[in-house]
Amino acid sequence: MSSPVEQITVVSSDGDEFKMTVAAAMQSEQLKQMLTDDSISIVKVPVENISTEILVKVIEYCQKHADHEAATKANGGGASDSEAEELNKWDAEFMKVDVEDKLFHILMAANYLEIKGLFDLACQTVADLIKGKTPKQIRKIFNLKNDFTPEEQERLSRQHNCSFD
Amino acid sequence: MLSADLPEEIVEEISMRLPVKSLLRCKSVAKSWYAQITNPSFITRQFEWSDSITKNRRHQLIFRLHNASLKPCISLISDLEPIDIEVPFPEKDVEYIFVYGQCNGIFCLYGVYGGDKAGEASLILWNPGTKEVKVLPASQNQPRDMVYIIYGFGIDPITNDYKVVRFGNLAFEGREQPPVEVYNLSTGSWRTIDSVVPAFRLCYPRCRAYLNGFYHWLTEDNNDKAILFFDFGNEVFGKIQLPPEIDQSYESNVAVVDEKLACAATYKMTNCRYEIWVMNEYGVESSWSKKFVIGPNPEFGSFLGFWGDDEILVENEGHLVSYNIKNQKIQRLEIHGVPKLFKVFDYLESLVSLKS
Repeated sequence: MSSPVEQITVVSSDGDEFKMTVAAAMQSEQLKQMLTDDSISIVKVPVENISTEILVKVIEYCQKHADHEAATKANGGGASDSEAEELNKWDAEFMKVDVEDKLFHILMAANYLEIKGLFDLACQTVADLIKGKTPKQIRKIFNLKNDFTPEEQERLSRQHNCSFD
Repeated sequence: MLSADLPEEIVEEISMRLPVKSLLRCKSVAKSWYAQITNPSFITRQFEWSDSITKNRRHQLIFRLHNASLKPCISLISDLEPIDIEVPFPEKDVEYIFVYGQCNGIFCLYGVYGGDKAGEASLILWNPGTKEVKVLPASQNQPRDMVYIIYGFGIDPITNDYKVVRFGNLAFEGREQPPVEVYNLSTGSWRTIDSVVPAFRLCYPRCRAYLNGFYHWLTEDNNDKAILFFDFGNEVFGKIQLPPEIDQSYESNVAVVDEKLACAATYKMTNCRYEIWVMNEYGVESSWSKKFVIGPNPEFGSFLGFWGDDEILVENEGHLVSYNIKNQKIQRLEIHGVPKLFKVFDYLESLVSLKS
């Protein structure tokens, strides 16, 4: 039996190493599986498709949420409304990234590491980004081409009263 | 701008969180998005997601029923300003609307025309979210006299097909009973079924409730009130007895709360008081239990239904009133125009398609 682990090291695709507390790592189902499996002795976990920039953000999220969980437990159970609201505010600020691309990478990282809270948060943030945008603007965000033929566009417009712009 | 393509599953997770209005627009983004958004299993996932996050605060769609001097009107009530919605019938001059139910964002409406088309009527399915309308074909068998015809709308839980049932009101004896018919959205046509309708007299035409593939009406037979139901899966009728403790001389309503069948008895004295009974185990008459006693309160009149699991909607002398059972907060809700006869529906937008 290995001695209890307090920290693990994750390595970004850029080769940079970061320490994470076990509590923070447990926010990720992937990392949690590794930590709870006695047959694996963890030294360093490489996360091949997550860059340093994104990994730093992800770890920040995990630590914050781990701290919140610990504080809630210490208070004997449910988070108060104000504590929950404070966390929501923090989440909203956290998701304010300067470049949309970063948002997608955080989403992919959350998916890869199976961090449910962050995945849901990122999905909702992207959804909120799309709401109210025109198809043209959405294509730009997702780097998509308009692959409808003019006839198809015509037919769809008539059917659904929609615009392609 | 995204530097690499997002996997389809992730695009789906994002799309699922969008409102219907945005999704309709997203259909024009690219072919892959169009395919995803029109996929029936995505439509179901999106609706279920939406359902799970709006559990206690859905929109209410209020139908102001016929009134000699006012045109029928539909209002969408939420936490914001009420929005009036145009009645989407094929002909313009609609004098009366009957609403036969709402499932997964689809309404079943019956409109009776006046003016040039007096005496004619249309039965339609309508998705207010996508604005799609489907006019149901007239049935060969049924007499045109709609007073005696009853409709119910629901989903067959086994096939997930939307169905409309149509049968005669036995209140008027001596008339030949028309056969019971069922319409399937999947086939776009009516067929006769071999079901016997138990003897009944419709109590309060406004009073109906739909739950999990079963449609319910409050009926009476020889002064004995009971709940008549139609099972959309097995296509049979049945009866459920009311809780014996309810005083049947007072008005009762069927409703749904907390995904259970409920019976709301209105005790009218100086002020109204409601007793809400819930059938904890569907179909098991011994499982009726009294869940709420609400009031008396001068603001209470006719019971209309539940709004989520904590609020009730009632009509009082032309006003629509909401009452929160948990915090006892009472509110008059703004409705455009003069409200008198209301019918409310717990409504959530969906992308469900009406194609046969």
